[in-house]
Parts: sequence; structure tokens; C-alpha cells
Amino acid sequence: MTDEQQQKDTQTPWIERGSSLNLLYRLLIVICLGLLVPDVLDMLHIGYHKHIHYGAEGWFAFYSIFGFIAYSLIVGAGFIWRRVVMRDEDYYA
Amino acid sequence: MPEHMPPGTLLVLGALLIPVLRGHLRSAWLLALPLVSFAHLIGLGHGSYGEIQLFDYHLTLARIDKLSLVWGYIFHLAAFLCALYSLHVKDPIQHMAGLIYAGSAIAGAFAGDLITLFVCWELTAVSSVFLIWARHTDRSYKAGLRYLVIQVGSGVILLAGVLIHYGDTGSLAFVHLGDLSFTDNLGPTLIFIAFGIKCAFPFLHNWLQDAYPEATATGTVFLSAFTTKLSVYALARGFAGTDILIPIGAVMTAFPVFFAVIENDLRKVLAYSLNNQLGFMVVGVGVGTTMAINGAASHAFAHILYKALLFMSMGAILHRVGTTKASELGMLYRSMPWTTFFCIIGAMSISAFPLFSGFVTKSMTLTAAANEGWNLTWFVLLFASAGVLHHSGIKIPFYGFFGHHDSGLRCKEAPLNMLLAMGITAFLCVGIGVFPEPLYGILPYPVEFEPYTASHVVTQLQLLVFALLAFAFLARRHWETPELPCTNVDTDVVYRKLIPSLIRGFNGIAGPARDAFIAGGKRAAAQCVAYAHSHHGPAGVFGRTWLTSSAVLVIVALLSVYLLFAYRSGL
Repeated sequence: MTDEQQQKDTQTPWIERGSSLNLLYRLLIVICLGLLVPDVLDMLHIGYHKHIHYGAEGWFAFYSIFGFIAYSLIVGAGFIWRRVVMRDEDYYA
Repeated sequence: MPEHMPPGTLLVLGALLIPVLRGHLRSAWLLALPLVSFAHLIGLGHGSYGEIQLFDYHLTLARIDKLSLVWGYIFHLAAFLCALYSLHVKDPIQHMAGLIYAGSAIAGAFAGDLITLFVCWELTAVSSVFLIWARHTDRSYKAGLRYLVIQVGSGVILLAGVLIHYGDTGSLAFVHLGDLSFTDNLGPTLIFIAFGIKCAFPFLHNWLQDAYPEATATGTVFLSAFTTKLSVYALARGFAGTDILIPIGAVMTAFPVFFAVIENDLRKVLAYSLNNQLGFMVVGVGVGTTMAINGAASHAFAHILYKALLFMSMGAILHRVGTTKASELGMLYRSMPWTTFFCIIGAMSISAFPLFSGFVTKSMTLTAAANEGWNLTWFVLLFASAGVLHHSGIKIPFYGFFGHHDSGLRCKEAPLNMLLAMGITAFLCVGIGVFPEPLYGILPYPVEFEPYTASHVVTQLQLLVFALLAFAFLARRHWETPELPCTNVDTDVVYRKLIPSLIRGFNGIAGPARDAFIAGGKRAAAQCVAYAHSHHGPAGVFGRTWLTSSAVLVIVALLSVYLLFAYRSGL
């Protein structure tokens, strides 16, 4: 990184810096991994018991996988849905 | 203070004085009215008030019980917060409309009979439209007209249902209205449809996304609190345990997610989000158990606050930079740090993060649905919960205050009164999340639900944080749906494009046919005139002036012929 780039980076607010975003992303991954620990404990019957209504809820990382996939599906569906319903901004004008 | 005046009427009557007040006196009056009205409500115990005989109808203007009180409390709180939020507005019409709207919604929630409910129902429609028109744009004027037609239409259907129901049963009491059937129970079925319109059932919903984003910055905050939640109350009062509400509610939670993901106007995103949240409440009402009704009521309470908070934060952006289109915003957090902070609290509340209000209320409905074996519904609600995180938890704060690029917009922080209103609302969102017991204490039934179990906290965090990871993963690759200036057609395309096109198409065929018919008629008439003219005109054989001698000759000839016939007959 050149001095000019470094100076520009330090003038940018912390939250907007690429390095900060990378750090936050890694932190998020660590938190996600941490959130999988209770499911491991549940499988091993050590100190944590997942209260479930349906069998699927008992699967390892069910809620984690559901959350990730549901979110990704919604975003993916947005691309398709946009082809169907998107019109010009002044469509009703 | 009149002891038997129904709750909410003080707000309506007090609002009429607003135009004659100025400056600090008006501000004090605006803030005092909801407080005085609330004190009035507290002073009234459980029971019925204002029983009157109007013609043949026995009316109960107010019926106070545990169910109506939940809505009474939160409507008063919302009225106060909205009044505080809009304190800087100079236009007295907006203040009047807002408080009359709030007062009529409160009176509606306490209506003991269906005629009183109808009057309040229509008053909310008529008063609230001024919050849309107050923006004084062509778009808001037209959106307001469409809103008014649909809202008043809902009232007309309600009245028809009420009169049929009265004719069938002789009762106007606003109690559980029985099963739905067009053949055997038409009155309540029409009433249900009227409630469904105001509750934004699927295919009846688009007035909400059409009108709310066109209102003023402060008007939308008012609008978000009352109309739809009054209809949720009406459903809970009249149709609790009606099974059809469960699939309706489930669809309501899911379909707005797909519109919200591609919508550019962030206030419209929130309008879709509102629709989605109503779905949870409708499912709760449909399940109808004590836990489910508690879930719907507590969710309505919490939802009014966090949805108002989100609309307040977007209203602050609109007030300062004149737009809430995501494609035109970016890095506003630098200019509006407090508004950003409050918005994030609203986003976390609606997403149901532990320690925020959504966590302790929404899950009650999910648990009730699972307990009653509504398996598919439960999965739809879980999916919708991830959807909520997308459009309200991430999209609103991210594109409203951060975004991928600096828009260059620099402005002042929101006015002090707006910040105060947002601050109090945010405090309540966290307060309810951390200490849900006071809210549980005012619910219609005793609460047998513990939100803070290790399992509930962990599974909810897993759902939300992994969805957050999906957002970060997609955003880093620029795979998220881009924010584009556009219009997304919804069911409003039927009455804004399709029906006008059909009418134009019909005119295209009927117009020339009508012209051809008229032209043919004119030609036929002209030919008749010409024919008559040729015989009776000056040159026609009947138009000539004959000599008297010729006439006498013709008469003699005719008489001769007659004589001959008479002679033959005589023989």
C-alpha cells in the first residue's frame, strides 16, 4: 500500500475501511461457528437440550442452515421476481 | 370530565381546537391530549359505557375489557409518540387529522356494537387521508383518492354486513360473529371481508403500499400505527379461531418478502414489511388459542412501536434529504448518527433478536401454531422471519444509512422532537425485550410462555446470525439484489393499468360503432327528408298549387265513382 493510499484509508471512517469490513466479516464467521457449539452439545447430550416441536428442528445446525439458505433464496428470488414485476419508474405517470 | 364519554373522543374533540392555537400552546396541547385521553381511559373500569337507543338500535359506545385495553394502551402511546415526532410541523391540518385519526381508532377498539365500529371505521378512513394529501403532490393526491375509495368501500361492505347480520339475528353486539358462509351467514362474511381489506389480506393489500409511502414524513408514522392494527383487533374480537385466517396470515407473512427485496423506496419496503408483520398477527388470531391471541395482541403492541420507529427514521431521512430511495442514499450515518442508532434498534426489534421486543412477542405466535399442529404454517412463519431480517433488519438500516457508496448527501441530524420520539420508542423496544413482564401482564389471558430459554435464544440467534452471514457473504461478492430506480407492479396494476386499459379498449371498439350508428341514422334521416321533399317540396307533386277548376274536376270524378258504386250496391 502506498503512502497516499494509507493516508486516504486513515481518513476514511473506520466502519467504511476495507480492513474493518474484513475484520467484521471474520468476526461474524467466528460468532457463527460459536453458535454451532450448542448443537454439538445437544448431540452429545452435554448441558444443552434443544426444545423442538418437529423432528427436523433436531437436526444438527437446522436453524443455521435454514437461516442461511432462506436468506440466499430470498435474494436469488429477487432477481427472478424483478424480471416479472419491474417497470420504468414513471410506469404509472 | 364526562365519565361515560367513550375513550378516544377527547382526542377527536380536542383536535378540533388545534387550528386556533399557536406556538408553544399548540405544542403543549398536542402532547397533553393523548395523556389526558389516556388518564380518562385509566379512570374507566372494565364494563360497558354510553349505552344509548338510536331509533330501533341499541348501541354500546364503549366496552372495556382486557382485549380492547391492549389496543387502547398502545394506541394512546402511539398517539403521544406521533404527536411528539410531528411537533415541528406547522400545518394544523396534519395535527388535526392525526389526532382525530388516532382518537377514532381508539374509539373503534372500544366499540361495543357494530354500528359504533362502523362510524369509527369510516372516521379513521376520512381523517387519515389528509395525512396523505398533506404532502401536496400530484402523486399523493391520486394515491389519497385511491386510498379513500378503498377504505370507504371497506366501510360500505362493513355496513352491509352489519345490517344483514342485524336482520338475521336482531343483535348489533360486537362479539364473536360465528362461522363464515356466503349462504348461511352472509352478514358476518361481509364483515370479515371488510376487516380483511383494512388488514391488507393478500390481493386486498395494495392500498397499503400504494398510499403509505406517499404520505408526509410524519403522516406515515401515524398511518403505520392505527388502521391495520384496528383491523387486527376487529378480527381478534369477531373471528378468533377462524381457520381460514391461518393460511391467509401465512401467505401475508411470505409474499411481501419478495416485493420488499426488490423495492427501491425504503418507505415502501417498510409498507411491505408491515404487511408481513400483520400476517403473524392474523395467524395468531386464526389459531385462536389463549397463547395465540396473547401472541397476536403482544405482537401488535410491540409491532406498533418498532414499526413506528423504523418509519420515524425513514421520515427523518425524508425530512432532511427529500427522498427515501435507496438508489439515491448512502453514508447518511455520518450526518445522522442518532437516527442511524435508533433505526438499528428498530431493525433488531423487528428481526426479533434476543433482548428486543420482537423476540418476546412474535415467538408466542410461532409456538402457538406449532402447539396446534399447523406444521406448514410454522415453516412459512420461520421462512418469513428470515425474510424480515432481510428487508427490515438489514436493508432498511444498510441502504438508508450506509450503502455501497457515498451519495454525497450531507445534512443536519433530525430535529430534536423527532430524536426524542425515536429515543423514547427505541427505549420501549429494548425495555419490552428485556422486561416483557409488564406487557405480558396486560395481555387478555394469563401468559404461560417463557421467552428466555436457552433453546429459544440459541435457535433464534442461529437463524438470524447465519442469515446475517448470508448477507455479508453475498454483499462481499456484490451478489445482492441491486437497488434500482423502478416501479414494481403489484395488484394495483389491476385498477391503475388493466381496468383503464380495458375501458380504453372498449372505447376503441364502442366509440367507432357508436359513431357509425349515429352516421347511419343521420343518413337514413337525410334520405327520408329528401324523399319527402321530392314529393311535398315546392317541386313535388303534392306540393304544387293546383287550379280550383282542377280540384272541382277531381271531386266530381270521385263523387261520380262513389255514385256508381252506391248505385250498384242498391241494385
